[in-house]
Amino acid sequence: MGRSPATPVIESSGAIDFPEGGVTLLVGNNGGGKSTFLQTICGILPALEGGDGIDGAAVYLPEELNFPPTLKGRQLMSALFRSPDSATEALLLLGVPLDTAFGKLSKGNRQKVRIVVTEAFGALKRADLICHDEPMSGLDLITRKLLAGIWGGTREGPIVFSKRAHRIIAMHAGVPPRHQRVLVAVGGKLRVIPPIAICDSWMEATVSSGVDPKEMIS
Amino acid sequence: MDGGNSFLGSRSKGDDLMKNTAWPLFWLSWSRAVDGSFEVLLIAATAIVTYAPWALSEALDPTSWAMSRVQAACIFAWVAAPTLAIGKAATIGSVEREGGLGSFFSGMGVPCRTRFLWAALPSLIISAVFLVGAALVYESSFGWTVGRTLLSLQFIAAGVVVQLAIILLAMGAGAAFSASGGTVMTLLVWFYGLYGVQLLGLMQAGANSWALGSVWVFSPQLWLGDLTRRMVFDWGGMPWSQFAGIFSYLVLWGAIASLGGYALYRKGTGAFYR
Repeated sequence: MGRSPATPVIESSGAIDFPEGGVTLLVGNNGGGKSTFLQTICGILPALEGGDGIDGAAVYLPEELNFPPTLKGRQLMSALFRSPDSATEALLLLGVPLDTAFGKLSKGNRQKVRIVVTEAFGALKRADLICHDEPMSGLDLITRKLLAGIWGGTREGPIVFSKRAHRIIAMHAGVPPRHQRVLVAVGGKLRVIPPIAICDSWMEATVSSGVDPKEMIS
Repeated sequence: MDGGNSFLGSRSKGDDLMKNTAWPLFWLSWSRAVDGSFEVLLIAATAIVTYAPWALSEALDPTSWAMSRVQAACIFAWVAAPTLAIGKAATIGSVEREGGLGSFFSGMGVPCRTRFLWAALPSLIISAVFLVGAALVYESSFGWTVGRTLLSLQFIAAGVVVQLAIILLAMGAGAAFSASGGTVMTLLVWFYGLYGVQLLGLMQAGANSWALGSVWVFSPQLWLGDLTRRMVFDWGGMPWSQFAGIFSYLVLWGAIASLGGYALYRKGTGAFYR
């Protein structure tokens, strides 16, 4: 579907619709094209053919997003948002110490900051699509379940994110949020399969849908 | 906010903010650029400019004191501050690529050229503060006159044009290579343009070499923008016709360097599309 000189090409036929407020799970092997797919539909990378990404506004959280290491949580929210109170409160509710510099936060807390910032921008932009590339990485189990519940609409958490946006969650393992479909990106090919209960691996997800993984790799 | 979302306050505030999504990028770059070293340099400059005359012999007259103050301020404006700003710009460029900020803001629809300019702005402000500071030191040391104000304006205008270009080049080099690689590469261009070219000019004049002459002609003559000597010796403003010629050359060089920096930035951040 898209490419950059350093990333693989991913192919998919046909348009994919992303219903309002829904969730699409994106699984796949390393280098399979998950990030390329997300960057293409968010308009960061050009589509090779068949369209220019999403028809609407999008926000993309890359796997790596480093804010200035000296900025504390409270300062960071003030730098990013004109009305930082809600975002700051969200950090507090997720257990992020507000007076610790970003560079001194634990991996999990840095990830919480990234997620809150992304979701806040998604709400502000009234985004149609919010893409998270491996958002659960480094998070503790409680936070994973909390986010999965909020994103899946099965839980009214302390944080209210955008209810309008569709989310694409790229993840490797764990209990996924309630989702409408799974996209499997393997070997540069994209396949749509029905929802899965537990995301143990892309291969299991593929097998559970009745597709031979070898078929995708080849 | 949307569809019952109450995450970030009222809708109108959100709309105001999103009129310019590049502002957050500016503030993030600002906090990287002004992280303590800028303040330390500012304090050092104030102290050195204030006490510079103490290094002189007591036998010298007060005019020499003024000259020493102006020279110290100009060295900060043309050597120390640009060195810091180049380092900061290269770091910011590098972070845009490696730290994911480029992808993050690109995904929100902020075009590459907007990201490039807004992220470079804090480093330019650092440089501009020292240029304006040097001009103020000049005017306060020698006393205000129309001719001196004219020279101050010329000093600031030439400095901003040249230093903006070198900062944009540093941003691009930082994004394309690395923070340290971009810094070293750009500093080499900077000091070659300020001092190396003049040395080459002397060598070329002595050797009368066609090859050296060709290299000299195509070298960045950044020293033309450094009006330190005019300020130190209080020669007053440059004639407009002469300044216009120099300024035009600097703008042309600045445009080429900025475009080079932009090309490197696009390459480094993978922004072939936006």
